[in-house]
Amino acid sequence: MTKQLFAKAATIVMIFAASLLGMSSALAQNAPIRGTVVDSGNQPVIGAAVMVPGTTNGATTNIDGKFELRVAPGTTLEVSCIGYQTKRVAAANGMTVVLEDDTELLEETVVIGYGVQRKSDLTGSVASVRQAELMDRSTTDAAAALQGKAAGVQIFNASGAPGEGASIRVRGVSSNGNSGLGPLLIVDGLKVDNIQYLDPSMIESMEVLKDAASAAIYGAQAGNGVVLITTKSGAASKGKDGNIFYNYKMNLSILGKKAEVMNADQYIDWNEQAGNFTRQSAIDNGWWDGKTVTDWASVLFGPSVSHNHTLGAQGGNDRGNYFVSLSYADQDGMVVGNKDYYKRFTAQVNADYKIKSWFQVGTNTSIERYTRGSVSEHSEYSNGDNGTSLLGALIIDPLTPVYYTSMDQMAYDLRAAAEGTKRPSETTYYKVYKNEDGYYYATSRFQEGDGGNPLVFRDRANSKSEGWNIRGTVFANLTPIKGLVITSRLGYRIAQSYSSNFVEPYFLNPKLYADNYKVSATSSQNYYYQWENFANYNVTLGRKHAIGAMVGMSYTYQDRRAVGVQLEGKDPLKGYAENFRYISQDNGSGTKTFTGTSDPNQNTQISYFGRLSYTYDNRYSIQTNFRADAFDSSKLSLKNRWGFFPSVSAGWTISNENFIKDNVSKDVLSFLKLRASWGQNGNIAVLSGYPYSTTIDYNSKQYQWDIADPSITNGSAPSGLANPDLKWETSEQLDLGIDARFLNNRLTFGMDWYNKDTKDLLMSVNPVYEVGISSTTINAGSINNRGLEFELGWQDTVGDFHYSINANFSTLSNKVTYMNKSGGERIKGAEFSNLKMKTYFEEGYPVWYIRGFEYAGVGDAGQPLYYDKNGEITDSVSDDDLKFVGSGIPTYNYGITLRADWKGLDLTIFGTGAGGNVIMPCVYRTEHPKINSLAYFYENAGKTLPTIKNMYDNVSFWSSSANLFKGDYFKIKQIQLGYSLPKNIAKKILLSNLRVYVSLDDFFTFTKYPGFDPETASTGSHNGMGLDKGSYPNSRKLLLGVNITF
Amino acid sequence: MKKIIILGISFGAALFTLASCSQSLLEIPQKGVVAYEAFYDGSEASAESATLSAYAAGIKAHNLGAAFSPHTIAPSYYVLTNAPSDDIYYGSGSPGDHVFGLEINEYRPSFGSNSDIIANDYKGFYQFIYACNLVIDNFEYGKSAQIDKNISEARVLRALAHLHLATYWGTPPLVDHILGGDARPANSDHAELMKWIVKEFDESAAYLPSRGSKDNKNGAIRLTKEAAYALEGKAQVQAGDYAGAKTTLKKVIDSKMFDLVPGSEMRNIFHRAGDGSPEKVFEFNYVNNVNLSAFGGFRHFQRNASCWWRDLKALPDQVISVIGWGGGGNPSESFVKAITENEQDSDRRKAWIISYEELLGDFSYGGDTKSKEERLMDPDRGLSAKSYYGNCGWFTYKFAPYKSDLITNSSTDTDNNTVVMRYAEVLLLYAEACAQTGETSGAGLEALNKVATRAGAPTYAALSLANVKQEKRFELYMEGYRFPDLVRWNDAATVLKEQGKCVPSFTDPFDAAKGIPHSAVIDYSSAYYNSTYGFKVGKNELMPFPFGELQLNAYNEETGEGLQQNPGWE
Repeated sequence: MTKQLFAKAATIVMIFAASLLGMSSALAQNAPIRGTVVDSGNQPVIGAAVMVPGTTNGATTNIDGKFELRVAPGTTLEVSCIGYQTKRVAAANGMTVVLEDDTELLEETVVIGYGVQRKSDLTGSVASVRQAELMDRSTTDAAAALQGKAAGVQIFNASGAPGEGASIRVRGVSSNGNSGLGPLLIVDGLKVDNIQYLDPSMIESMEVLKDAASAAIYGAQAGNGVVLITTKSGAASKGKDGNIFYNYKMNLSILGKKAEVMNADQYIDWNEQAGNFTRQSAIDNGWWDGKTVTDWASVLFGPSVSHNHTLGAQGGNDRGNYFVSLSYADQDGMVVGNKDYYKRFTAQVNADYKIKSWFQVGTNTSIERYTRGSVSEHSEYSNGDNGTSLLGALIIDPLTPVYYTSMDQMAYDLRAAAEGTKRPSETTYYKVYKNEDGYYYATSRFQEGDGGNPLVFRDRANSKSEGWNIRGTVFANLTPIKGLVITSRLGYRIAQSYSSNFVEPYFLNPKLYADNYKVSATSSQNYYYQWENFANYNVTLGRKHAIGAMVGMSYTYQDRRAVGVQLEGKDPLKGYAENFRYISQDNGSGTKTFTGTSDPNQNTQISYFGRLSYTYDNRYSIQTNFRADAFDSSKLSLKNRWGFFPSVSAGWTISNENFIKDNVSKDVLSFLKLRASWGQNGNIAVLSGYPYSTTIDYNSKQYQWDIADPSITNGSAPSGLANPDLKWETSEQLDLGIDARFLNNRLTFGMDWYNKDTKDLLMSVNPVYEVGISSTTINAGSINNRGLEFELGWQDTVGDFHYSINANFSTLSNKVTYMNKSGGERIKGAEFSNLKMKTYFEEGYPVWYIRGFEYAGVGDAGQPLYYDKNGEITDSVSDDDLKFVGSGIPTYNYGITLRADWKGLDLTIFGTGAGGNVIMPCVYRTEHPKINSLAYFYENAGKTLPTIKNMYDNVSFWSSSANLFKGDYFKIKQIQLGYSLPKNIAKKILLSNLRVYVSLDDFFTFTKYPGFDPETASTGSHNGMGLDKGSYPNSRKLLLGVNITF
Repeated sequence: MKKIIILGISFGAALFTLASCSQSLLEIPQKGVVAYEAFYDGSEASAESATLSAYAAGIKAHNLGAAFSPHTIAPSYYVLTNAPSDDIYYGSGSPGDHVFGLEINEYRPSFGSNSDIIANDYKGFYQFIYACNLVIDNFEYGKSAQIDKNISEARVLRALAHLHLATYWGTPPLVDHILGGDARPANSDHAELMKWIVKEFDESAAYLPSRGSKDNKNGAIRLTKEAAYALEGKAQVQAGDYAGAKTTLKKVIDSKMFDLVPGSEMRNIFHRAGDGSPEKVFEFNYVNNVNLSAFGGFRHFQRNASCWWRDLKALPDQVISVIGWGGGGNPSESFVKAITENEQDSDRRKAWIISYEELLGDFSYGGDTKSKEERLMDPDRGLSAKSYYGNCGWFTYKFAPYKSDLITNSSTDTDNNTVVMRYAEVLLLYAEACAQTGETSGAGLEALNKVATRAGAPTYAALSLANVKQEKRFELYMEGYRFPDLVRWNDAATVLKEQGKCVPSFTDPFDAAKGIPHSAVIDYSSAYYNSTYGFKVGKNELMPFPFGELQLNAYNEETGEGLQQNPGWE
């Protein structure tokens, strides 16, 4: 902590103490001077200190902003309050003191690892998002609330399903793995695995440590950046009365952007031209009644309502602070019915207390209870075990009715199964689903394999998860001498979860059926603790030399274990009523497997870290960080265990130089600083499961030595090839930045350029096939991420009207700069059906870029043309002509927030967008040509696209860039209008604040992508970015809310 | 104040000391594993365990190859060995479905080194070889009879894998020890490789036990002396050492450890009821065991994928309800014509293939007792689709999985064994070896006629290569030998010249109202025609080495390291 902060806190405490003394021993020689302190909006300022400078004579303002003080009229009074500029005025009875808002941002502090720092002293690149930007959003996920608020921070909502957390990427993608791409998440000093549990209303601030120098204090875990979250403490109301608050919001969700699939006429015409069937033959074959038209998206998705309540209290004084809040979120998903939902109850208790002047204790604790129901997504196969697959809703033909009103409409097999009269030995356990009215769900006659009625998949599965999480820290701060704070902090997480699924058999057609029940349950329990001890020392010598030092160590331990079981069989349970659907109702006939059971898994870590900073005359700052990390033996071998992560950064505040101060007015150039930093970080998330060692998978192979006896004999074999030389994946990052404010701080500007090289990527490579081992892990690649980040802000007040515009924009260039070729020229990632267009990891290209044929237009015969490997136009391509056709990673992201308030009315408009990426809709499959597809292809056939005849079964065409779309989008995430009751009216109904608001969230999406939501387009895994396999779409929300403070 | 300072510093120091205790906190032993050296300790138990892993790898190689991937939903080894032959249409649902099999069957130009089938099989066999080398490299002869047997089993299995590789790739690298991660193996010499294979079979046989009796069912699922000799004889025939093959195969025949099952039981050879029968020389074993993973190479998805019986409204009672989710294999017109002209309704013909009318008329559906005429007028059976792609009105019955083959609680996984070699092949190989050395009568003819007689087919008056070829085609239908035999006999260029040119579909003119019964009518106007098709001399004799392998192990002219692609392939 900086000296300034201490000094300020001390001053306040002294004023406070003095004012208490002053009141009790007030001298009677002067008549009382009565006055009022108000802010620029003419609202009373509560708790402002009114002092005679240099004395202990003073008073504080009451709830109406009034004070009374016995001084001679004309005496100079100093009026101060946190958040306002201190003012000196002459005492006069009946005086009104107007305090200006403290727009001087210089004293703003930001949280950095194991400490805080004045924003003006920052030498690294840290994005800070304050609570005002996070409040009153429809999302209950802290990560999602961060979207569009900070340059260089990308938020991926891979799914819009209730309870699905957003993922954060800081400055690009620096790994080839499928996990461990997100930043390290620290909440109040506790390392957490997600921040989905954190309701945005509990957050005071979120800081993103973007550059290596800032993050280096977290060493091996910081390669993907660090997000530090501070929850509310109650300190904001210090010196005032505490308050009790209640926030309620309700939102109505409807399906957002819908995929634009072919309508019935288009679908028929497509198939006629493709030669699959004709309008007449569809009717003749009994596949279509000639009139049914179904919009499947509206069958599957409908409006839903969610509620969110938060009740809490906070307060504080010179000894301590408290913040207590209870929050309940109840979200219903858009899939019609009650299969998808998310319910969460969170309690947050934060408190600290100064027991002695040199000893403080405190705790931050959060208790979470959640339950979640889900349906399956991210698969091109419609027959998911986990409920409806959302792709099913996209590709089932529009001619199939939702349900049959007569059994005569049913296909032969389905009817046989429904009647149970044919093939009795098979149909006994088949279940044919009906709707509430007793009508059987229909299924496509055109496309047996994929055209399953999505409602059947919704109905047959019941996937639920629930659990408890307790996360918290307890800490003690010891201040033996001024400026030195020794902290000992114990953090812990205890997680208990239980998930279950009950899947019933079904029959739709001979390709889509299941004859077994599956009942599964998995229970897991995890705990984690960290013990950290660190000391901060801050001192200013000779008024110009500010020195800060921090040194510390940490020890962490994590333990995870899970037990799961699945029961599968044609008739495995004693009964099938709702209250029998548990593993324990096993009747002995089913097959039992240990699905989801894992070995107890422990991880430990020991770290030492330190920081040294020096600022000279508020002009020159330099800071260095160092961290040494060692992880347990499941990560790296003994010889490569320790990782050392240094960093250095420097800043030059030009605006504090005399040649600026003397020549340029503060009203023109308020602040100007240049920053530079360099550092190294590691990446621990890619290391797990003893990747460096080869051992014997004991009894992992099976054979049976008897022709009739079903018992198994086990054998053993090695797990792979050893690589004891495996070492840390390391990122090295250079950052140059500029911070500036102009026009009396009304215009703010920030810019950063960074270059981040990640080397020694862990990759699983294949030795030559003859070795007989499929893969081994080596350090074999490098990735470069670089980009520019801009933040621009403007704020001004015109009379009662205050407004601000804040925008951020960041670019990202991502490239694999080196790859060991012993695993082949390129590594295959995600794929779809039989298409040759897939994602690959290859030197010289973005991570998991999309490789396909390059479409060149339509030939004279309506055939597709391509550019071959030499750039010549051809209508016949071979695999040699496959090339880079795009990347799923957006190359730019931006966000813009507009705020205005006028006399209690406030308006927020917030939009965010991304672009530069491409999306491949994983819809049409030449293997199953009768599936419905995007209308785009039909509408452009014979124009910019080949004729349908040349397109429908052409794998090369579908593997070409003609099947790629720009992923650019801009979304207006929030349009919120609020009204706060004037304080004097609120006071009359015993409220200190009352705000009501209405908001449209995620309402408008601007994109050319014809599929579902471009924001959620993904296979759900890192290597499938850009392949849209039917995610749960985001919804549009109408939000109504009220915030009440007592 | 001083007190506080001292207190603070000592408190801080204490915390640091406490927490920075020894690094032993970081040692977390891995669970469920044994150290490499500790496992291969030279003991009998370890040798037996390692040998079992070799058998397990063998199952996988003969079923799925190296992996289960959605694009080779049919077992890779089945596709590789059967799809290129003239006996079947790969079929599947449509010309665009399961292209991985169709492109091989129809000799489409899209088939090449990047085929997943090729990669899966090639990888699978070398993974199998690695599992064998773990036994051979880690144990020594002379320690105990059991270990000698284990090493010999591994050598036979390793030679078998090399034999498959040599058959399809010609000059695959010989891997006779565990390779390091940086290995860059080169092509072998085909003749030398075949010699080595023969020698391995021969030397190992000495350490293996005899089957003991032809009724010893368990003798069919674990290698025996006789099985090793039978495989040796096969390798000798393939290597052109007919004199050697005659001697070796005679030993097998004279051992009396095998016999053909009666013609009436032929339909059970590839089903659970036929597991371990006297006809089985060697097969990989599966027994109903639900605790094993479905696609890990054990419980097999196998032959279910080999018959496309999907587009039918209903199926006979004894076969599983859904056949052919993943692949194809319908008898070709040329095969149907040849076998029906030769032996009409023999036991063998009816066990191997059945006509559409037989499928609808001769079997009970849902326990019905209708007459054939009634069944052929039944609107609830027959084609559910308009036409049936890759089918000339005949179906493969030989491998159609029976309900009795299903493992408990599964509708697709069956536990009938994977046959590697059966006695009929031994007899036919022997007959061929005799015919190749100019014999026209005697033991060779006797062996040939033994096979024909059992089948219920006409016997042969004399031994000739042509007769052996015909009998081998009929008897070993869809067992994966037709294509390599055609290549070996130099017949592929003629027989497969127009393979893939035209793939017929059939339709059923059935109309209950008009009294037209079910029948199969091939409509060539709606057949599927490929513009490029047929066997290419100088190319199709061998399969391409996998693209992925050549990427890793490209041939380097200077060092001579790396693999050279087979002629005609890229």
